Amino acid sequence: MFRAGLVACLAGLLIFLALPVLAIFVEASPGELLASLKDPAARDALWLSAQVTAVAVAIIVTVGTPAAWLLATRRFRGRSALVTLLELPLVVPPAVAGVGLLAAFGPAGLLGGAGPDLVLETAGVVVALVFVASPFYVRQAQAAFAALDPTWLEASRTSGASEARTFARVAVPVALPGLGTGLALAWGRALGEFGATLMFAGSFRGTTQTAPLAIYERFATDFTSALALSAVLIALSASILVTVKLLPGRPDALL
Amino acid sequence: MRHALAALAAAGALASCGGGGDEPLKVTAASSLKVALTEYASDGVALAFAGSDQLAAQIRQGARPDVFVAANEKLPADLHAEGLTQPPVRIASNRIVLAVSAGTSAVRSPEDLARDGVRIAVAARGVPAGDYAQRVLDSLPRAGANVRSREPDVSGVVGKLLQRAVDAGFVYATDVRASRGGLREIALPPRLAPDVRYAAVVVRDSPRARAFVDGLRGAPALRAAGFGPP
Amino acid sequence: MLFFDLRARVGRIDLEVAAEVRAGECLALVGPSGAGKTSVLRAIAGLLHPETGRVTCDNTVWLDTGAGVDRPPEGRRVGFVFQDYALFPHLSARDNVAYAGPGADALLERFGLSARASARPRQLSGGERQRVALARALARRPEVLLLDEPLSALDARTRASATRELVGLLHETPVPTLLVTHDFTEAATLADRIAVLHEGRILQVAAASELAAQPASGLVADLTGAVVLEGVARADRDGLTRIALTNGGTITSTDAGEGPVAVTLHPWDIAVEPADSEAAGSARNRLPATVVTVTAIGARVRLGLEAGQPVTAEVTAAAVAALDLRPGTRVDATFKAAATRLVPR
Repeated sequence: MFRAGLVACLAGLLIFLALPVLAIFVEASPGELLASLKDPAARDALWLSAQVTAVAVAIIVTVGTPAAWLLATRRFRGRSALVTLLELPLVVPPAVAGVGLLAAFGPAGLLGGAGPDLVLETAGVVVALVFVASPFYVRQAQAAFAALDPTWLEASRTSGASEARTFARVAVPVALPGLGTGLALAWGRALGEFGATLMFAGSFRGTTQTAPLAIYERFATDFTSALALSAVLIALSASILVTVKLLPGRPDALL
Repeated sequence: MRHALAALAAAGALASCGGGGDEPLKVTAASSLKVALTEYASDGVALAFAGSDQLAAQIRQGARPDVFVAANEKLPADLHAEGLTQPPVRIASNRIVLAVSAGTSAVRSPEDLARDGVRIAVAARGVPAGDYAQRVLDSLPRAGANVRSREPDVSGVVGKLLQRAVDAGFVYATDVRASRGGLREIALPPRLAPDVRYAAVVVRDSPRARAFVDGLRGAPALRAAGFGPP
Repeated sequence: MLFFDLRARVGRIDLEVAAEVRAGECLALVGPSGAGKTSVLRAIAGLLHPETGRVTCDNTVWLDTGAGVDRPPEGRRVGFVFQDYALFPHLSARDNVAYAGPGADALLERFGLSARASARPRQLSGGERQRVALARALARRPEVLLLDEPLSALDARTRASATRELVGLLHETPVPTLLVTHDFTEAATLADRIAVLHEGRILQVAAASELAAQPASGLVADLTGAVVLEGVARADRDGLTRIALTNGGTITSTDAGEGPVAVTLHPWDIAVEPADSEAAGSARNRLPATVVTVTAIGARVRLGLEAGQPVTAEVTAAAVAALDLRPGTRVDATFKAAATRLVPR
């Protein structure tokens, strides 16, 4: 009886999650989808999304990996508070994130336009994406590093390797599956970001109108086009997820 | 105790006898109507605001509010032509204005919009405010090149202006009024100012819905917010 | 030569140890789990930072808390073999060894692992992993070898051959070796000297036979309960094994064994009778011996005997008085064939 209940829950959840995704591919014919994608504005949006998410993820991984390593391997006062702070963007609604970014980096904000112009610029989109997506990576990376057997790291040190070399040649390679998962999650989050980028960087074709914003614009005027763009985004996100799962050494590897 | 329960049951029965009297009236409306409609509507009305084009699209997709109020006449007319609603009723007019943030601004006249380095925000095409704004821009050569953001909602334009992220933007006169000094209006010559007319349609026909729309025409709350006569 | 003097608080133990290990010598730290043995190794390697301490290797100071010297692990040339070997899971056996230094192929060959060079640790057997760990430690060209329970993770069968290999390796190695184990027999087989560790302090440091024969306290006596005799075994009739002891004498064991073996038994299983007595009981083994030392610990007395090899018997004080046992007395040491265990050597 209990077993049947478990199966029912899983089945229900699967159907609920899969249905909207499937509906997108079913609602419009492939011909219509392809035609919509020929629209230069749609292509601009997809290309912009690809670029800004790649840059944002690159920044997140470059800065976040050493940060996660530090958090995972050191105990220091205020560590828990710091971790909570880093997780904040996770629980902050995107609109609030947008407001916060404006309040900090906008022309009327804290820094009062001191740095480079971010608002209405592509760089601003990248900033917004880094803000909302970095916790997805850092949390996974930290967990992956913390799960490493400490004797591996000690064996590396007693074999003559410095901490830096240990990090690069033992910690990162062994933690790679977990880092990969974090990367996929962060990338997916960045691809789908809407509210914060709209408020902070605006929406302009080629500069700041990412795919989700383009979908939103087309929702009212050209639903087929919205479906087409959505289908492409789903395909993109899915391929990132699958690629990560194909990494060797994963306990849940597809291969 | 039993008396109290009986009384509650009776009250419930009476209430539901009123032809759905305790079910709220669902009204979707353009964002620019937020202040006015909140003032106009009584208890028992549920309001939802968004871009008019979004709301029309939702109705096409099957959403069934009781009343839909748009920032133009085209959207309600289209819906009516598709057989989804009752005939549209003009309820108010508004003005599209050139707005800047309070305080100093690089833009002091419509001509300034064409200057190098000026940044303009408008609503997206398809959104009534965006279509109106585009008509104005079309008659100001070279200003169109300075558009830096096409917001899905006119409130996004207001936000960008208040944050001084752009130098100027096209919003409704009612938005300037609602900003309570945050925005300043720069007058547009009459030949540039488009006709902005708001129309409402009953989507789910009922006496209450019709009464709501009829009462909206020229309502004091609309005038107080800065809307013009229909 | 390795010298260390450490004071540290590890968990609930106050560790306070000092010792030195000469070049080519193997010192074993023996004690029950939780006595702080592994912490000593970790402190010498630089993985643990004691409150006060000094560690020197030849003329180099690795740690001197008083002078503010604390070299990181990569700055101390140690070869550390961890209890569970800690092989890098993402590298092959060869790459594991090569991680620590050049000459991986030669080392793998020396340990008989050439055929397994490209296997990952999870594909190797326990014995193979232990050898890779040893090879990796040696690849570093260490000045000190640190072994943490090197045999305890192996199953009984593998342990025998591994013990033999390790003995060979330790004899060849010119560097000081510090070995940690909870098994006194293992220590007796592998090490030249044994330090008995109990609740963070060293109770006694001496060769195995001396610890057994002249324990400094009842505690040491209890921890060092093994006599180890060397000989060559051969199967005998009746399912028994006959062992010809080095330096003379023959004994019988119920254990199976063939070739060079170590015979282990406990002092309290060895009885002492006057020399040349008639065999009257069921004990099949009888070795003529001379009493060398008489050490009383409470009501027990440990007799250090010389029977071609050192043997320790534990008897009561009353028996010592009754038989008038004193240094120089000739006796027969008797014990049952069933009391012996054979370990390949």
